[in-house]
Amino acid sequence: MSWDLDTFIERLYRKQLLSEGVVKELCEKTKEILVREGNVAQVSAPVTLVGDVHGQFYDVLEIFKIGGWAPFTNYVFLGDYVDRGYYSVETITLLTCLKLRWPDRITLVRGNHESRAVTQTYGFYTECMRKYGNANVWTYFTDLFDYLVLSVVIDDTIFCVHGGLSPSIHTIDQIRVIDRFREIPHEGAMADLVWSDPISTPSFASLGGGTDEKGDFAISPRGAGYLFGKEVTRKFLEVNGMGHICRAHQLCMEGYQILFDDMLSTVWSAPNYCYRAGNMASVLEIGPELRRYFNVFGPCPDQDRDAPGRDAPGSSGDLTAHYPETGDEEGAGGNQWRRKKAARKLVPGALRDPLEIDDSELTAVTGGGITKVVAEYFL
Amino acid sequence: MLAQPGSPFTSGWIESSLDANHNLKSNRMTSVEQQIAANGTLYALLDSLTCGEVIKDQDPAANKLGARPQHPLCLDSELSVSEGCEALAANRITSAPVYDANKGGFIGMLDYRDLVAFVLSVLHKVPKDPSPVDVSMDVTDIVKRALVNKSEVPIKLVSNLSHSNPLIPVQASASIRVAVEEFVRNHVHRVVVLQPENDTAHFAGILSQSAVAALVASRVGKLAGAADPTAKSMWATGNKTLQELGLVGKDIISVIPDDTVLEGLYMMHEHKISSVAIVERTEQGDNQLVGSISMTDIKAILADRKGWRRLYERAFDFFTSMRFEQGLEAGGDDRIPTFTVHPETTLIATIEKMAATRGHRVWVVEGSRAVGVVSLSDIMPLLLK
Repeated sequence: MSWDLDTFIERLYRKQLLSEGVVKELCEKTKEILVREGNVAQVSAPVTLVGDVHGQFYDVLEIFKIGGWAPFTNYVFLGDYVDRGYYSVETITLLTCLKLRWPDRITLVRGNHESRAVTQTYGFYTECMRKYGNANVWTYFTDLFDYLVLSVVIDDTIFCVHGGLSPSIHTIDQIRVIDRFREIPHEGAMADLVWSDPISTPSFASLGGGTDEKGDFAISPRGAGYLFGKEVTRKFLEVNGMGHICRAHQLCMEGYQILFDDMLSTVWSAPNYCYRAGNMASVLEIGPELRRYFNVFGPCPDQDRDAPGRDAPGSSGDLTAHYPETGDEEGAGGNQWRRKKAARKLVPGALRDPLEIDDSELTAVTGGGITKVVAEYFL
Repeated sequence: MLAQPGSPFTSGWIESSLDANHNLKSNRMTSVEQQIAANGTLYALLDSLTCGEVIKDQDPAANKLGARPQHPLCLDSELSVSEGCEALAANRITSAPVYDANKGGFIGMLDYRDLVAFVLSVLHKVPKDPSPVDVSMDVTDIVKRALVNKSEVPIKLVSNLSHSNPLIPVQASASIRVAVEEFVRNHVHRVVVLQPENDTAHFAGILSQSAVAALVASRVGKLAGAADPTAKSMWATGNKTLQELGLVGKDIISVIPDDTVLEGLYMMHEHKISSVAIVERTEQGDNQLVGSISMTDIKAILADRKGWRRLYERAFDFFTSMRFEQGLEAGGDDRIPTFTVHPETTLIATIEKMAATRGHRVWVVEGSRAVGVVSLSDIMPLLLK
């Protein structure tokens, strides 16, 4: 097969697997791009943040339908691409292709599931064995995971990471000097960034583990990382001149959660997690002037997806219409966004007075005309 | 409050509590903690609390994993094995005393070791036949075949079957040190706390090694070695490494990923341990730790009528299915597959990790190479040093 990234992406949108040889080449080429990125990627708004997707491929397509297709929307994915869902391979292969194709539009952050030990336990390894008959693809991707960045800063204001904070990290510069090109260790700064969780209860004493003197950190019941409180969050933001922390890593029944007087938020992007949790999901859309919208959505309707385990080639139809050579802005609906089951949640404390915002300004959020939805097929 | 010259409070430790500007330094050390720092032992802590006080403080709504029972749970001796197992699992406890109404008293404890011993003994009694696995059978059917005239085995026959869990009572007014001494002397994981009322002893609750470890972690743990690499606990022994304390280098009882769950349970029963490691042997002859199976996992087998056939699953597949379910039960918070420490980890950091994860052991690794295991039973004697 000749090397044609656009064709690969087209096939992946149809949930068709790429060959082992192509996956190997894909990972090699993507490593070359990632190796040049620092541990803290700098990104500008407008951009959409995506939380855990965990191999829920059809719901990843929902994200693109709702948030806009690459490259017309900038995306930062906050990790946990694989494990638990039925289509981890298709999901990570698609995201890797998108990164390779548009490296400046897609940022991939490492989550705690982008790890050899974790993927052997929670499903990705098994899925690779089942779909390819051997562990090579698993090896290619887990080697690639060693190259994913650890965090993102959006316009020097919003700090993004998969898990949370670390008692070993006070400044963002300390993150920059970590050697990230390795398996995630069980402890230390790198482990903490992908495993930690915020805790909102005031009392740490009930947790049983050791706490530090001000009750800011507690050892996490997950067995790696820490639980961290409001004071630690405030201090981190102050010391680093940031305004907000956005992270993923924890299931939110409503798709997102805002904590610590809006100093921190969690975004979760796998609806009906494990096909049984019954939760909503969201993506965080950050507009110019850093306005934040949690775009909430539900799972892809059952009639639009195959039964797990049954791959029907071509059943998702031809999705190349959204993949034009030129940015065709006069497509169906013009600049209108069409959303399925979407709800806009205006974050309190946004920089603009909410009463001033009306619908016609919404389309301007993404810079006017750079988002296109191919409506006919999906409606 | 500044110490005035000539006041009874002028003493060495007050002066050391003042900073350069003679302001009282913020000082959380209570007198108990000061004694620990001074004497180097935990007796000050262990003697300062009674068993009754500690079990009362056990917070029933502490974690996402579900509330512990508000009232201490006893099991009737006539309950069947599956009912007893369901009761343990539903209440998220690992053992309960068994009360015999006819005898009017406690006859023993039921815990997972007993259930494992029961399953092993029953399966051993099943005669070998050409088609050994009949998926339509459940445990009670097996019992029917194995024991004549009994359709449901009452737990009074099962409790203490493992001979490893005698009922050890302590008075609610006894200090925690007494409980720890009982843990060590009798090799038990928990004691029954009795509150005398008039002439009878009223069952007040169960005090476990886990509860004591959590107490130690919260009082003398200071995230030793984490927030600040030089931060030390006030408990001298706690600052020693596992290597220094001789806790590394014990042989690890293990199975390979392809072994069955039944073989894992058998290893636990034979060696009288509560968890077995799952290791992969590398070409260099190292044991890479990839997972573990615990005694308490048997509840997933016995609580479900058809669950017994899981005994024949691959150990590693069983382990991953346990983690899968545990993550969902914890509200979607997946855990790291194995809880590990290093030979250079301090004792107090090890205790803190066990308390935070509510685990009963941690595996000692170098890289991913398994080199030892430290359990709560290993730690209890050190609390008395």
